Amino acid sequence: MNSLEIAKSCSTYSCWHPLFALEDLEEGGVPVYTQLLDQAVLCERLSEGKVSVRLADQQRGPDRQAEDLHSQVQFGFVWACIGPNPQLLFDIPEYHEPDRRNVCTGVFGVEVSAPRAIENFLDMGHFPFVHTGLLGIEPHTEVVDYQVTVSDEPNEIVATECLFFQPQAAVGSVGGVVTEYVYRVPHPFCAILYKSCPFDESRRDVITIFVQPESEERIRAHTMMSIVDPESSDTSIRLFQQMIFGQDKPILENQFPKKLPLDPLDEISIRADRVAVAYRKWLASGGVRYGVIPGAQAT
Amino acid sequence: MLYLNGDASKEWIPVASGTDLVPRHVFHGRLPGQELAIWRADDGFVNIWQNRCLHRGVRLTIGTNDGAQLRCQYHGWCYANRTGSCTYIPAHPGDSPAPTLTNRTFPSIEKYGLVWTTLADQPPVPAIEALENHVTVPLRAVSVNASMQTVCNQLQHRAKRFDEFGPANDSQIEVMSSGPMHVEVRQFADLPDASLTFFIQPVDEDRSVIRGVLSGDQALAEPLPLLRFFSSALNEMRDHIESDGLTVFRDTEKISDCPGKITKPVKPSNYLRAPSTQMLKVRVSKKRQEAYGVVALELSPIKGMLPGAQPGAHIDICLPGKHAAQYSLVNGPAETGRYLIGVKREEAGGGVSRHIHDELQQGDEVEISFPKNRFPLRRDAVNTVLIAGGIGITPILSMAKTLSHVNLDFVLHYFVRSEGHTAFASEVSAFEQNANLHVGLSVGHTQDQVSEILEKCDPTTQIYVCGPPPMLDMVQCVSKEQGISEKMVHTEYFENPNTIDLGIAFRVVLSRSNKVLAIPQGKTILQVLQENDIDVPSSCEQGACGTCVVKVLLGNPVHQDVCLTEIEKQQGNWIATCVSRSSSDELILDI
Ligand code: FES
Ligand SMILES: [Fe+2]
Repeated sequence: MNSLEIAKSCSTYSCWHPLFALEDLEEGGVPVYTQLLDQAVLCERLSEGKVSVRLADQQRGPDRQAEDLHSQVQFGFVWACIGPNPQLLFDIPEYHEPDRRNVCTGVFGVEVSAPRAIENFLDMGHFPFVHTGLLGIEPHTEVVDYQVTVSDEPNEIVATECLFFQPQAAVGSVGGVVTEYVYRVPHPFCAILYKSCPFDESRRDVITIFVQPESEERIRAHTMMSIVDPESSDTSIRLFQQMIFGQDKPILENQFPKKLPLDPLDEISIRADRVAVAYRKWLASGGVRYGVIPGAQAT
Repeated sequence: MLYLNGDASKEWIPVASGTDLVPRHVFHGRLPGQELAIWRADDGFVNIWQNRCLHRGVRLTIGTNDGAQLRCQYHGWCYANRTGSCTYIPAHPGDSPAPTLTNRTFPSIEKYGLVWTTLADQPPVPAIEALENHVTVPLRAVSVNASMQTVCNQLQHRAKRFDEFGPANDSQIEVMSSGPMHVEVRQFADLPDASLTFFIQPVDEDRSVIRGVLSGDQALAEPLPLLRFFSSALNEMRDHIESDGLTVFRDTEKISDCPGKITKPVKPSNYLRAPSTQMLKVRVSKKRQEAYGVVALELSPIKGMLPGAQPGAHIDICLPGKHAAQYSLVNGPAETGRYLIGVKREEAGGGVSRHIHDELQQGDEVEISFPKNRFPLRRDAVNTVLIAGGIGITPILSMAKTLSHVNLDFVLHYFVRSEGHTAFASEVSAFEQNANLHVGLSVGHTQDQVSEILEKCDPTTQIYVCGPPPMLDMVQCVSKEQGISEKMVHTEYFENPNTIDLGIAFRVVLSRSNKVLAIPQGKTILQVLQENDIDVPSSCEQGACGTCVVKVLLGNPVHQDVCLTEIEKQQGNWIATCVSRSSSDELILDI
């Protein structure tokens, strides 16, 4: 089976996938090409926040609307589904809070599979080695045990009590602090991180990664932050996020195989990888076959 | 004479030039279908490994060579020089990875200035007469988009044309001989002792690297003109080969994309606990008097390499007809070629130490266990205090070597009876101001000294203590008085000071053997297992060495040993069958 056939035959086909930040498209401008699940698609921003997405090789007949793919705008991004019956897109309730700043922090092309990028996002163990001085610093390398729950309704993975020593957890904090994270994986290729908010102790900042699988081994990672921060400029928030992602990219592109192996014997997992282990199982049981190497049990 | 069907998989293949392996660098090598991470340790050993971290598959060539170990860039897993075994997982500083957690390694030799490996089992080492016993200099490696055979062929036909660009007008070049992967040409009329041999490294089905080696004592007195000449001649040859349509251009994506098949790492059922039954034969390569009543032994492999060891690890020495005895390794991370232990002569006990002192000779063979570690060293502490009493210096010294290797702060305190009792004095003094020797203190003064040391510790200081049981008890007592958290004080007992209570009777269910056995008062689980011919390895039989530990599936063990860590005891997943009991009526064991 080639990649396109795999895409068509697995649950990924009925998922919503992000294509562009709405703000990056010009209203009424020319349609823009991108790739989704091995197919070229064209995306066009119409008036009044409406969008149209279609397969690029689709001949256009008189009934333009009928040939369009399912599409919607959510969290500041254009989402599309190629399959006929899209599943419901998850929600991020915090996004809708009126006093939050929702900042699209950039899209990053990476030569890796979507699930490898998600695992990297869920991983604390690499902070001291990859984000040295920002998200972690040696010798503070310990990942203490945290909780992982996989629920059916909604169908998602949640990791809580994720503690990690960070050299400078928040603007203005001096010396290291143990920061607490919560991770949520509501979609095979999307994940959300909640982190304590330096400006309001009762609330949490939200950082998201929405991965657009261009092919099984190439992605565009769309990132967004939804934060309570009256001070920092959009640019400084973006630059920080770009620096972090710039550090992950070379690591991701040096992972082999690029697809995520679902057989637990292919790669050694440790307690710190509990969420990754749950994620791999969840992908296998959810019938995701795109961007992964199915394990012995899954086939 | 040509051997064009030479099969690279049966030969030694040159994969790098010796000069590619600069200190602290990791070189990216390649064979068909297999990427290689090639690095030289500070002791000169050349490691050739599968280019893939066991954890998340990251290329090891983007990792760091610290001279003794290779560290992965992603999560910092450390792999030891020579063995490739994983010695440290930073995310869990208190655990020790099992020695079976080992990267895939390939054999390596260095010859003619090139580094060679092989996928075969011990093929004969390459021997080209013209290169033996001469000075050799490798040419710049030239990569060609053509198969090994094409390149081999072309080299033979075109070698003659080298003289067209000859360094001297009257040079003559002839093909002398050739093998499956090499072509030997010479000679240069004006340089009679010069000779040139090409080795061809297959990289892919349709990519190869030409590695030339120049030899000749006289010619190489001034090699530069020759090197320049061949460098441009080879470039020219590559252009010819590639423009002759002998090349197949491939999808570049595919080329960059195969660090080798995924070979499944060997995963023990629990990566924290090493199999305790594996034995190993070694040779006593050195025996020397180290201090009063202490000899040091160096144990070298008889075949292959010794398994990697972590700081704090020990081995069992097994002598026929005697109970095994445990000895900590004094090895630092850079010392992987042999094990170093210190043996104190014990008048009591099973007699192993007396045998070692009185009978064992340099050159003798002994049987030892794989290294096991129940005294793992955390490398995530900003400060570490190491306290040793007497022969307890052995694991403490390996910890000090490790901390100093990875540049973490530590202070070492070594309590000895007299100067003459100071084992490994020179290794200790190498730590200069980080090492403090306390000679001849009374019990009371030792305690005062320990209080003083512990008072200076801040709450994040990790404390490691090894020595005679009364000293360990004293340190634990003092640290408790000072309110130091139990978690920060790590001890290793060479013997179990607990009085063992065999009062309560209970049952054990052996899940895998499908048996239920009653453990009466006065008998240990281990004894009952042995009476019933159930084979559980054991060694000290007093709850100190950890050899007889088995997995508990259900039930509440009552621990009386000193080999499991506090955390392991709380989790209740393991039991030392030689001393520990059960508070539940039944224990279900995984045997
Ligand atoms: S991938 Fe190498 S340490 Fe995690
Ligand atoms: Fe990261």
